[in-house]
Amino acid sequence: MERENSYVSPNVDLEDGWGDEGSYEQSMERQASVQSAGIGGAGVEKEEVDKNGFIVQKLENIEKTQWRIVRETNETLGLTDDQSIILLRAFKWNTEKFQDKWLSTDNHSKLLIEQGLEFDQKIAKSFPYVNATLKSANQGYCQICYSQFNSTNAKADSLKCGHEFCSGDWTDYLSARVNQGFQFCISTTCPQHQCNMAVPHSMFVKYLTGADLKTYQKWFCKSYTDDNKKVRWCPFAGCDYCVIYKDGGIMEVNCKCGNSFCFKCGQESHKPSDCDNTKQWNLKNSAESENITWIMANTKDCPKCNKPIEKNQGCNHMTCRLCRHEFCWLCTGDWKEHGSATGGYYQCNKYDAAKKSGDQTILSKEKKIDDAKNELKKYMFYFERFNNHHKAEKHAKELLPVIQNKILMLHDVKNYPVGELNFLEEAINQVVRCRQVLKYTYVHGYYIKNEMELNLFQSMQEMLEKFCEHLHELIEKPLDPYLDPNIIERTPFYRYRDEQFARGR
Amino acid sequence: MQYSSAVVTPRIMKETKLLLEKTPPGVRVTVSEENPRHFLFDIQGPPGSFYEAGIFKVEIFLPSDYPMSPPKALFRTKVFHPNIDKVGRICLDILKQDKWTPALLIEKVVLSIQWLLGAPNLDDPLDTSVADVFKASPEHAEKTAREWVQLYAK
Repeated sequence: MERENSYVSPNVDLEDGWGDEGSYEQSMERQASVQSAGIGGAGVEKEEVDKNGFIVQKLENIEKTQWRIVRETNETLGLTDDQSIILLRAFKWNTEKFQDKWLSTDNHSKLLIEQGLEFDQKIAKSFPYVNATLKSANQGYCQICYSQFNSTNAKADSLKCGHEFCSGDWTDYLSARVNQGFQFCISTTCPQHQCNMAVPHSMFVKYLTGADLKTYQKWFCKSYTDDNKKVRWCPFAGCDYCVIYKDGGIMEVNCKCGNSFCFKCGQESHKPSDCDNTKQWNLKNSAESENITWIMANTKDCPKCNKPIEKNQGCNHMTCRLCRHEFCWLCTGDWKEHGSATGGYYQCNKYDAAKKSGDQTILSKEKKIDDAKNELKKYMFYFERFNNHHKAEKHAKELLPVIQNKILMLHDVKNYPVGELNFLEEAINQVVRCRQVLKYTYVHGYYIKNEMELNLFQSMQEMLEKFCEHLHELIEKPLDPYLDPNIIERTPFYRYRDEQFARGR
Repeated sequence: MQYSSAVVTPRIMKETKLLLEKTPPGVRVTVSEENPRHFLFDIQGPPGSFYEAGIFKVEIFLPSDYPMSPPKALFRTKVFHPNIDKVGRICLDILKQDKWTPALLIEKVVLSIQWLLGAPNLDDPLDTSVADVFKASPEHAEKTAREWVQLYAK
């Protein structure tokens, strides 16, 4: 395959590639220089698999993995970069499935035509004008900008289909597609109407520059990560790390951005609650359903116009503000039927009588309201505590830089060895972790049906809560007293530390 | 090459010239005097269709990034058609960003609109109430369509 541009693809087997902190451009430059030195075989990779069996990587490293797969496919099947990329994408980056398909069929051109890698003669036949705008037929004019091809700035270029356009128009066209978004970018075809030739990777790299090229690289990577079940982006805002699942059963990822999330569902870490319950809970927190429960618990519908009414004061004689209908709050019957006969104007013995006699309609209505009220109470109980831990977790996270600063100060002012101060950071991290777990214990608890299980769970929850609160309290204590340079005695500080150790563990 | 709304690009000039010189049959074109990116077409209903006797006014506007973005087209004549709504918006694939390609022309758009009049697409309706009439009773739809032509497209 001919390469006209110095940067086509990053090489995969870089010796110093991993853990590189350099900027994207720098790494691109470096990749380009390695590229020009020639392509070697796939080398041995250094992968940092964390204790949970995940590899947390930056965007450019993901790209390297992606290119390794492309290269391997090239070597096995004798394809070019462009062909492998488009075909692999069609098979959702499932190399085995693609190779099986490729090796089990002789009709490769059918596969290539389907993916827009070969020109489909059938289309040219059924849409004659697809052929009519080839260079020979369009009198030497570019079909996009209408300048003549042999004029100064219009160098013609085309895909395999032969539909030629000026290089400047290619740039404009591809830039427009890239900026329209991911879906548009990866489905880009030849600008000729009805021509289904796919625009390959090399074409984008050839004509795009600067921000457009960067955006393209992003989409290119996304085409790999989004279709791949073993890859997931960190869901936290502003984090561009990507996580590859290697093996092992733990689905919890500690991302390098400091947050942790569940690999299975992509939500924030939610141990001990499971994915489904957590999802349901989050939905509950955000959805209208709770409003509806409240409305059910605290309002009755006007019997005439069916608008919900909340009774916040006054007697049982209700007058609907909307339709002026007068009714009794207790039995929702017409007020006209109420009077001395029903036990006085402000009493409703109809209601009591119905209740006594066991009128099913009234009783079932009552039960519904009671259930809703209880459900709402239960939910409010759990939500309040969930929210409380959520806020505490946030505060603890905010405390981390403060503590780190204090560690430095204690080291500078009082000459404590750094090793002896690390417990402070450990403690704050422990608090964050505990808060996170505690937060989701309330989700878990909310969905527990078995009473015995619930009792056991609650006592454990209580214990964790107690220790966590204590540790949190200790870590929030001002460290300033220990910073006084005039006091040389270190015992109080060590006592403080030992207390933390004793409580925190 | 940077396209801007103030500038008429060589492509637009060429297209305008082509449109004025070789106007497709059944179409009349006027270019707005204030804005050379604004076109007004009189499109004749295709023969044999419900709309055959009518002349329909269609406005076409070229956005600043034309031809990278599709032109905007709007019916200025009321028409009883499942793919054209009350305010004249048109549901046509090549007018959407994902099916439009810069190698298409204003002329092709106009011809497609004319073709759409003759071939209502009931699977992808823009105005569902009109589509329902077309589905339930084609005779009734034809009657209404022809009435509207008499009322508005003369």
